[in-house]
Amino acid sequence: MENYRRKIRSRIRVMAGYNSILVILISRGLFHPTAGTTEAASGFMSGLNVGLVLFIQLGLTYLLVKYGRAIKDEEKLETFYIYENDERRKFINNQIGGVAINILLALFALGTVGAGFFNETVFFTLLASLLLTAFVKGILKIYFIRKV
Amino acid sequence: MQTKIAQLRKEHKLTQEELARAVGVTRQTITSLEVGKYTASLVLAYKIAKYFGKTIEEVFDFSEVEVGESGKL
Repeated sequence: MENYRRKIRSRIRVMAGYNSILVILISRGLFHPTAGTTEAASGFMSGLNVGLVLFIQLGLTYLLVKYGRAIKDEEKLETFYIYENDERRKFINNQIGGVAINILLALFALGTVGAGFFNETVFFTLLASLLLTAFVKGILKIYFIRKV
Repeated sequence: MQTKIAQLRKEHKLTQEELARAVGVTRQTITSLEVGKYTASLVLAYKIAKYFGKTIEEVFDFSEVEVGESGKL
């Protein structure tokens, strides 16, 4: 359990650091994209970006408080440890990851073929997404085949 | 997969939560094992059997489980 406590402490440090960086980036207005062709599009893009970052920050802050409490309470720490290492939960997450990437590949492939009839930019964007997803899956497959 | 976990738990007057904590899994995992929705790994099967002072075969019936089906939901 002491190892797990150390792991949680290091997670707290990383999350606090990441959160601080996000605060600096938001305060400097770095989440306001300039690619929008209309005012409405630019406003929507800025709102979405800032909203997403704030959502991440709220999540991180929630976890920071939760972890902070857990390292002071042995029972809570054990509950966290069991939850994180529960084999059924890990199995479900592995299944979701494996299935999700295959569904994404199929959807990107269908989307790419469909977009070819309507818009060149969308076609190449979807094609890039398809290739990137396939590349990530391939790399992960090679990594795990060699590791296990 | 059939198991005798529910029966053994009742004999030992244990709740699912108590057994789960003792073997290091969540209560939901014990529920899934008891209703046969989830197939335990060898390590978990060993821990549960050891907790009740039994062998793995006395608690779990792996006869209908194929190799590679561990964890099947």
